[in-house]
Amino acid sequence: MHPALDNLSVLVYYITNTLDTGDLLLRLDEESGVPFYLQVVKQVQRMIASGAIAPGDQLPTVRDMASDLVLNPNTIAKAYQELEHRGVVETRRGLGTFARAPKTPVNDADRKAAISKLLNEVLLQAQEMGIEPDDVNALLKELIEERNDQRIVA
Amino acid sequence: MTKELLPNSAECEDSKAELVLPPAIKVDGLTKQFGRTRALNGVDLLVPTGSIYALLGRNAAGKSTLMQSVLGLLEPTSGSISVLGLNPMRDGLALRRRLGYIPEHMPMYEWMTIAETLRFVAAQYPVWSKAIQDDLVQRLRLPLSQKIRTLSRGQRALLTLVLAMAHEPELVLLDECTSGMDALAREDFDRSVIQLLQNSGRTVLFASHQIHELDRLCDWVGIIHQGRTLLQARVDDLKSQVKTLQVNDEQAELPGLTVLKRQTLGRDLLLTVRGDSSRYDWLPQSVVDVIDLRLEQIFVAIVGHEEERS
Repeated sequence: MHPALDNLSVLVYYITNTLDTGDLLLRLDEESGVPFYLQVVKQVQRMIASGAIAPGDQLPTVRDMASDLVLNPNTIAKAYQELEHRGVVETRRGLGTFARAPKTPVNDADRKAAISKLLNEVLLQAQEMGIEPDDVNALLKELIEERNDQRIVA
Repeated sequence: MTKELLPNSAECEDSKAELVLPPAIKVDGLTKQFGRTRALNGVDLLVPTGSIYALLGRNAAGKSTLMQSVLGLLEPTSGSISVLGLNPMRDGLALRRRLGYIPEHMPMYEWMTIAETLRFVAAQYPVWSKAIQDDLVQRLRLPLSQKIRTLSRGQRALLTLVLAMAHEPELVLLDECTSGMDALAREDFDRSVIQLLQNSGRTVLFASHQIHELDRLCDWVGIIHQGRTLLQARVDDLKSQVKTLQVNDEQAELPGLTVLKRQTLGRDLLLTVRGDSSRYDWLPQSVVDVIDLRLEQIFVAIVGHEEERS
């Protein structure tokens, strides 16, 4: 990356939020048997997807998280590694771990593929419930009409 | 005889320094006889440097005897023990400078104040960090002028922690120190342990009945049963090897998986099984669910199975 742009991105990180473990309200379920690192991964991922953690926000340090959650620091480190592997966060040496923007499909083909996938799932579930694809189509038309009506009123 | 579950090299991509450095504690074939009682019957232990190691076992399984042998307080009947490269009986004095011990009840002079106790113990160590002591006392909010006999259980444990850590030991042994503590005191104590261990390269051996506590804190686990080592493994590896399967066919074939425990769930069976983690990649159709287990559940299944066999 161009050095000037690199400095700019560092500046942006300083302007955004540094999060406290308290801000994240991570809740560990001791009963479920789901590995702790995975619980942390899923909750952080969900918060980034929902926008509760904004791109560029700095996550708590491994040390702070481990201390606050009373977990082995290696477990937090593993969670951060997995989040980075999933492309959800990035670690910048010496600075910390930061949330990345959630990936959205850029081009038309990707968008179509993403929506097709969702629609196929709907049809599959309808089939399991004994609902015909034509009925799903009729239902979809109804919902679209409702949305259009709401827009006009609003 | 020891059954060792060590991760195979293919799984060790994130190679940890702990397996390259010499172990903090190495025990081989340790036996200890008290008159006619065999408290330890060939125990093996390998505590990697830098690890937080959970020592699990039922009451009277031999955990405390093992700990005391490691500390040089008991002489082995046979077998060898090496702690930080030293022989605990022969090199006891040198070793005690480098390790910290936090038992359930640390004997103290009840009439002394906290400040007096700290001064008293500090004088016995050639190297003692007043900076660490002061920082800990402040963070743990220990009332310096209060007498020991007026302290709560939690406060006593925290003071014991300070006494064990101020001389910056390389190895810390905790023996049932949170037993009998209420949940808040235990959380405070555990949090302090974590904060003290961060990036310090220290090794911790933690014997406790509060397995859910150890589940959160430890990377390695060793299970002692009737004076022998049942297994030693990374906690993560053990969890990938022992799971519960919900099965709807009694005759289901589960190759490579040993059944430790059987329960029924309506018309289905719940089988707690153990095997190489790769065995869970392909399971027969009769397996309708694979359930991850807590360390506590794994412990109960493994020890329960062992007791059934004998």
